[in-house]
Amino acid sequence: MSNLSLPPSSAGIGKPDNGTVARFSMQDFMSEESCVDVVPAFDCPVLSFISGDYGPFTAGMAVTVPLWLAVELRKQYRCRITPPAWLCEEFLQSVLNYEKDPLNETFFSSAPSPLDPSTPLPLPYHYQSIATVLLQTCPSDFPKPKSLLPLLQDIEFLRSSKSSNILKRLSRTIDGSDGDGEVEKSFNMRSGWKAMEVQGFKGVTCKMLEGVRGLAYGKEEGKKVGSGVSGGGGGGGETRSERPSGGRRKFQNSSRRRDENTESNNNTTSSTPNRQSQASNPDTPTVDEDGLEIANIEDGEELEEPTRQGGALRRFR
Amino acid sequence: MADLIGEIDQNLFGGLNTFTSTANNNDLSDAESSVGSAADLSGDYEALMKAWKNEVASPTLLPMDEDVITTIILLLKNQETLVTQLSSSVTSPTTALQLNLYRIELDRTKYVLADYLRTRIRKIERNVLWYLRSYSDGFQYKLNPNHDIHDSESPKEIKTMYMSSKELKFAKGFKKIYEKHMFETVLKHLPETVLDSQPQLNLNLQSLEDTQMSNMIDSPKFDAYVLGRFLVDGQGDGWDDYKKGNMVLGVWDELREKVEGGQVELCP
Repeated sequence: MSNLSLPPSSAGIGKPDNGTVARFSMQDFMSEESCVDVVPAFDCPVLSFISGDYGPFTAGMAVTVPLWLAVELRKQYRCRITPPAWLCEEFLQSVLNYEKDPLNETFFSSAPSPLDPSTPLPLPYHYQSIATVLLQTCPSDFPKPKSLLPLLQDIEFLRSSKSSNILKRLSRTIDGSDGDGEVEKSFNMRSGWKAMEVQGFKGVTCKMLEGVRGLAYGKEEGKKVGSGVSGGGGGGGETRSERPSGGRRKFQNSSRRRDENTESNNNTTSSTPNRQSQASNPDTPTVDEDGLEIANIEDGEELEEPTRQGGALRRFR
Repeated sequence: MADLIGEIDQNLFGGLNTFTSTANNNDLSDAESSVGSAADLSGDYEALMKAWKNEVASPTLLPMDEDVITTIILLLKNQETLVTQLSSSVTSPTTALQLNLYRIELDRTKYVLADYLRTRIRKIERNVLWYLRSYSDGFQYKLNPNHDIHDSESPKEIKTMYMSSKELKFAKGFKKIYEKHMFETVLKHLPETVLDSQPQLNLNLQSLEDTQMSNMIDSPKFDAYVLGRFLVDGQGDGWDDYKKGNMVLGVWDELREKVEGGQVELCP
């Protein structure tokens, strides 16, 4: 009966979030509120819907109706859809020229309408949804339908690269550790964004910002606690991080040892810094009876993981 | 049937509309507004759409305008009666067409209403204890109660009654079930009280409510980031840079008052 399908529930009850399809179809649903001009091929008095009154419909006279209504009528061949003012080659070309220009950092805002050059016409918020629906349903109502799709795709591509630049700039301004641990609370994204572009970045960007905020607050709390557990953990972490290479090389040497399974050649193959003290002292046993190296731990150094695990952990490197 | 139509007409704000062109009529032009460019959508329907979009996009519960919902339900009922009457007296292809269109529109509006209510219920279910506790007058909440960074940040007061009376009934029933479930599965296996030398620090391990020592009740995510659009120029401290039509990616806690006041609309 109805060819325009409704989007899945936005509450997503019981389902994991396979959000993309649901969100895009919701944008399509919202775009169907937009109005288009239609020339009906039938007569009908005023139709009273919950959303408003449309009509009266007289054959041959233009009427403005919502998009869902227009598409439904068109599918039953009861009308002809007048292409919207912005969905024509001339206008889209001017949009494209604006977006192509590398000097224009902001999005396209408006250009003179092809029908009425004195009024500026913006690109509609749902332009992708509307254009897709119209070009799929009634390409024959357009003067040059084949030229429109490449234009729209080019515009979409240029805008998406612009929007990713804007987002890159935004991510550079986020710095959770600017002194007082404050993450900026709001960002001005300016205007000109369209529905699908917003959909694309919103989910990821919001989650990212929340994560950064959480980290900033966590770090703040760590600083405040100071000599407590988290401070001790931080201090210990730093000591450990000072000599990562030493630890890693130790594992590598021990794994090589296990592979070779020899008890000889323990002094000749070493090149690690903390082995030099042992190399200079050939009497100190560096390998015990299992063929595992004895860790040479200096005072104050944190004990690394036992080298027995060198073999098992090797595969994670 | 004619008087039914008349009744519907009375309920609608628009009356007979004469549309001129698509781009002119909104204060927020078609490019910026996410609600369609129809010049005079019925006031109630437009209110429903706005409320739906905001509710879907916001992390916490928003105030519900019960009048709008009751009117929409009434309109839906009327429309359904109309449709059943029409379906029994289909004469010409035009009437069949009318019937078809009415049915589609009915589906759409029902979907929006159902989704709106569904989203609210889901939000209530997630944080039942918090919403019910916040239902008392003058409840104050603190953003990030576990982070005492900004001690100077005064706790914000939530003005009550975000739930409708039916939702409140649902929430209370849900809380009962939830508490019973928690008791049966986990809590009854824990010792009832843990005594402390200082009596005020006695822990009641079987309680789901807040105690002095523990903050068991999760608050909804007020520190989530949302994307919104300004419908008017931003005013007040820090918002001067925002003009009408600008998008803002901000913390929900900061934007909440603006959304409730109608200055900002959220993008779902």
